Amino acid sequence: MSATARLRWPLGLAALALVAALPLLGVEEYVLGILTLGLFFAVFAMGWDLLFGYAGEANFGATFLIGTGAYTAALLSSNGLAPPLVCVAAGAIVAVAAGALLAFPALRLSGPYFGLVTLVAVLILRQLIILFSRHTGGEIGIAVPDTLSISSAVNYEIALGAAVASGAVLLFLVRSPFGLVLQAIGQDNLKAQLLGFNVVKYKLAAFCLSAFFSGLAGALMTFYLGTASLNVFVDAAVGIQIIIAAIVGGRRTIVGPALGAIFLTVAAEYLRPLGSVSELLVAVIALLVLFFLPGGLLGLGALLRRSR
Amino acid sequence: MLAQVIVSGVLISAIYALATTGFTLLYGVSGILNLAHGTTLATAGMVAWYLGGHGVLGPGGALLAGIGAGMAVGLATFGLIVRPLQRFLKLSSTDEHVFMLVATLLWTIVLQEALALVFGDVPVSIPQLVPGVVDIIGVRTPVSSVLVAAVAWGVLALLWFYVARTRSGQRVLAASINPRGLVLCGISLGHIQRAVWALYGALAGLAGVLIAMILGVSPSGGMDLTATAFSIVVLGGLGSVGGTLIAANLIGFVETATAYLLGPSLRSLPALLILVGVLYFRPQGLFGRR
Repeated sequence: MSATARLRWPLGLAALALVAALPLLGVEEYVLGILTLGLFFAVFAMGWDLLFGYAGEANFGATFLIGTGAYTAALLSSNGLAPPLVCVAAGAIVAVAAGALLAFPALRLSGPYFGLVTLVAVLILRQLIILFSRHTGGEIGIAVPDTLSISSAVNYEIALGAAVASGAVLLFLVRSPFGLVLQAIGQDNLKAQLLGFNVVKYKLAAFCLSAFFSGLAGALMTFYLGTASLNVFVDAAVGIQIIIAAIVGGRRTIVGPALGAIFLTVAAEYLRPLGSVSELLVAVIALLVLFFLPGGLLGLGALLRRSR
Repeated sequence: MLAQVIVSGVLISAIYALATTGFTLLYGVSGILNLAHGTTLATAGMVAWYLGGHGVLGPGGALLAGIGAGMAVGLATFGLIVRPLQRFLKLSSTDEHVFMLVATLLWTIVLQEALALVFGDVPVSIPQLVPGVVDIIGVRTPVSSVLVAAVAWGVLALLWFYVARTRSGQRVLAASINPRGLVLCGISLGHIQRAVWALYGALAGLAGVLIAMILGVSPSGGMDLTATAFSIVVLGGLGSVGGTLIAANLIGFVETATAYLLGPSLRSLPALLILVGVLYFRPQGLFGRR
């Protein structure tokens, strides 16, 4: 065990404590707001990484799961049916149900077919929301009357808590026997089947886990933003941003996608004055990372360590 | 009403068929799903609109410029994205597949934002080539639209002739059936692939200009076009050109009928549901081989 590996835990915890203490250190509310969004985005990216990095399935429909969670929470809350925390829990649970619903047809397929079905799921959900616009607000969205908190510091801590908890659970899972089998399936489906693993069961579980965290973060984010709208929660383009974040950060690491998501959110905010050039720039950077650092930004660290 | 649906359905289906044939041909020969397909179409449409609309070129010149733009984008996709990914990253075949999807997706965003930067992110449509309307089974149809449908089917017929009857077309067909056998016969696979990408670009370019005439295009609308093309191709069976043609007509008619009977905002919903349903029972598509 090298010195850096032994220091990883204490260093990680220290960094986490520092991040959690940001509001106390007098960081501006504006910055906290950006980081809050970045942290929710990080949960989305981590959930996506479980499916892509480990189970080897490119899910182009992350926003199907996120959107289900967000809209469930928003519908319950705007109709005055439940307090915020119950709405959030309901959002996560319904997202799992939606994930299972999507997984059943999708898991019969593989590769491009799987990707297409997940993409189509987003388009269908979008159409359904527009179709039932009397209840869902259509393209405008639903305003959520309740909030979890109006303090930006508390909201920041909630997002951080969600991100850290999701990250911890996912990291634990991927290092457990479950995660190893999932990885084996992702790398060679046929051999994993020959070893007697029930591939469908494992993939279904991965799908539901990914859906749970996506739905949870989607519901929390709805309360943070105060609305559930199509262009934020049920948009294929947002799903693509998640993919970019995961690739830039470094797939198959869980931590990498989270860092990538925060990095991209912050970068997008500060590049905003550049207009559409900023998105062009981000896409080019992501492409360069894909070509030259297939391991992402986290892969860079490993590369430097090896060269030393 | 029925006549209206039939006439519009034939027109839309013809364009869909032309716009997706290149996509499926590309998959058949090189095994690549080009997610930048819709944006390639949009680029061709925007270039033709810009050059034609600003009086630089006449309608014919604009059409040629659009085809040229499509070829340029096709070859750039091949040279900048696909080739480097296959050459420099030593990936397993599953990884390569997924990386290819992600890379072409990122390439889409690059193209899309570049288009928005140059032309502005607004929907544009190319004015009709020829004025006048004709009466087809009681439906007043612009002559220009009839022309577009005729061109689309004409080009598809030419493509069939190329693949089935010419030497170079037979090589392309061989490359899609057994690339290794082709190499053993002393034919360079690299040359064939470059030729197929150029052919793909030209088809996409023409289709893009036609789409810009009938439906209009915009930089950010490219993604929707990709989704439609993807659905059609998968419904027909990946790599099966005949299946693609049938699926294009099926989706074209279902979309048109929905737009007329239920309202334009629901246009794509039934087609998407059909797609998911078909994939559930026939994962390889209607006419795909396992």
